[in-house]
Amino acid sequence: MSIEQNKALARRIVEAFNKKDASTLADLFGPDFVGHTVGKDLTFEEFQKNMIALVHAFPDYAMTIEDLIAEDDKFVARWTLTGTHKGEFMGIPASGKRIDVSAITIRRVAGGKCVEGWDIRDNLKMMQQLGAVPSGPPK
Amino acid sequence: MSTEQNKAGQRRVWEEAFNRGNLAVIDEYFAPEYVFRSPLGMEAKGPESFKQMVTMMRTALPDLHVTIDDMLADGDKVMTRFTFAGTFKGEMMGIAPTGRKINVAGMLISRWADGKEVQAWESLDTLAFYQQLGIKPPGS
Amino acid sequence: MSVEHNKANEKRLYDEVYNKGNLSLIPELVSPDFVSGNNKGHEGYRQMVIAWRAAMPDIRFTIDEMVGEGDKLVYRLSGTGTGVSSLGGVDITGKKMSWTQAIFTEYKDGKVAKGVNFMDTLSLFRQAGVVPPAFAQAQEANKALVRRYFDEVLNKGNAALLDELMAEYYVMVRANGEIDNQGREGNKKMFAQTRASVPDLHVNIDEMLADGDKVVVSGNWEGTHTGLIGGIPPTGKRFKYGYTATYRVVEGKIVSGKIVADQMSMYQQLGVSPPALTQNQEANKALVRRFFEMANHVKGDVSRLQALVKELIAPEYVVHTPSGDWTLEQTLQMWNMVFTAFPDMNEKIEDILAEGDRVVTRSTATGTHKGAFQGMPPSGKTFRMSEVVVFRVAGGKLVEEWPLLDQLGMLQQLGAIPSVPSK
Repeated sequence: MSIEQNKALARRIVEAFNKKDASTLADLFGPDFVGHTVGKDLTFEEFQKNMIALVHAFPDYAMTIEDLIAEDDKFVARWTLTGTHKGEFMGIPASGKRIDVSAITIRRVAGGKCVEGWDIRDNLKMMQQLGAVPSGPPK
Repeated sequence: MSTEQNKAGQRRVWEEAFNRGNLAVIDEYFAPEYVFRSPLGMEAKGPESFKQMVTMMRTALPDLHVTIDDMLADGDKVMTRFTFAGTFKGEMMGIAPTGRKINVAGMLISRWADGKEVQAWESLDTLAFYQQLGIKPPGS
Repeated sequence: MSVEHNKANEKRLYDEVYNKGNLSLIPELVSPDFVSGNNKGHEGYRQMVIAWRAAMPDIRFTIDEMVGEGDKLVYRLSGTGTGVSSLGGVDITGKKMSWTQAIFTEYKDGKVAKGVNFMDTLSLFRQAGVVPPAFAQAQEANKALVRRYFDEVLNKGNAALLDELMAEYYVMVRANGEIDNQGREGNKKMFAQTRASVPDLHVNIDEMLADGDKVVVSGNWEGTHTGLIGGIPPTGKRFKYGYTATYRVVEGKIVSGKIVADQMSMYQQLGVSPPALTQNQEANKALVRRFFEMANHVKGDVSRLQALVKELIAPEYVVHTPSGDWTLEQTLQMWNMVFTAFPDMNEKIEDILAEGDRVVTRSTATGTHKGAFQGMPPSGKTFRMSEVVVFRVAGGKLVEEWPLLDQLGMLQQLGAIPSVPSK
């Protein structure tokens, strides 16, 4: 797939996430998708479950792409996640607080679908914004 | 200060500043009026400038090691006969590194007063220095 | 024998023997076991004196300073003289020479028994107006090396030979002076792409000159446009354009190359417009790899950061951190703290991608908490942290960075934050 095709795929995925279009999302990920997140490797089912949990916790969540880079069979999206904490998230009861955190996602693409991915999200800032972790001195 | 104390101070400068990058030792042993001119053309005036020179050497040769082959003290002078070795991996005086190894012998005579080094004079084979590093001497 | 005796003895050697040619004094002042380099015994000492005096009959040595302890004596000497023949194989006829030396001697039974000479030899060559022999000989070898590079690598496609002919640190200098730290591996990849695009590539050498450590070559570069060149799809047309290349060779390996070529003419021959200025992704990746390499080399010695910054980072560097945009100075302060707090800090690149002027790395950082970090005293704990960083490259340097580090995970591993309960 060309650079432009990979970037177009990335944009479609983000659009599907923002529209909560679960069926389109399922089309854009291969059945053997493996997602490497911090400390855990997820199957597509587990990945979907995480997304559902996120939607419940932040019903107005939005992903905004800040930068898109692609080479060979991979794309990288640097994006921001915003939303209001209206449902329980990772054991933290709804606080009504807003989150605004950065994340970077790398996906490997084959046959027009994502087959492998690596995600890092600024979880520290997220926890701080939710009040679960004290905000320490600026990093 | 005794000649033995001067020698010990000089040894610490080599071993701690040059070999380990502990520049604080320079504040301990160098007088504010310290002056040094190396045959390679570098000049240091005062401890801060000498620290910069050491840092530059250690940057150019990250594995820099000075071996003390001999040390003499006489009156207010200390002489060190040394071997200077390392691999040229970092930029030096605006010259790109060549990755080559250097191993040259040299001699330093330093003059001490009240426990501090006030002046030093160095001698080494400058041609061998540049040849081993594989660079053209500046101004050639 | 005392240091005073030794000093007087050595002084007499210069005043009487070297300066006045009084060779008969040698047995009185020099030990029969004398050694200095290849010169041995009284005869060896005689030959040394004769060589100096034959080269400069009006030679005058002055001892500037002497330092002695026990049976060791060291002194600084100044020498002057007018050359009438050669010294050490260098013709100094008619030249007024002036030099300094330092000599380390060991005494035995009141006579000098060993001498080690430290001399600014380079200044002697300079005064004689000669290129030191090692540099002259190298020039022919350098030319042969560059010719092999053209014949075997460029024209016959033997890229493996680059391991022998090119330094690992190879630097490419663009026509506009920008430096690409692409390294030998980057160059190999670029070369593979070139040969894939122009399989019948032929480069010829019309002229070759060598000067010091540089070899300058000019000629023509020709072939058939069979694959992508500068992003332009193959036209199948033949092209031929002129180039001049300057290579720097250091002991049998090419360390840098600057190529100026009439590429405009190539695009005209192909009948296409040249592409807009494109970035060299391989060079950008090599730059970022070097950043990691140098950072991993710090190993607690923050003075090494200076070289890293000087080589790789633009002064206008900006890091977009979760708590705001940092200048280079602010970033350096943080690095100083981090590298001191974690002296065994190491970041391993797991994956690297590049497009346009961006490079993305996915890496794993490890380290042991041995110094104060963000108000936390050293815990001795180790951490393992995932990172993804987007870099922007301009002018061969890093100018902007968007790091994403799993800081929460790291702080949890160091015990600073309790593990958050998860579903």
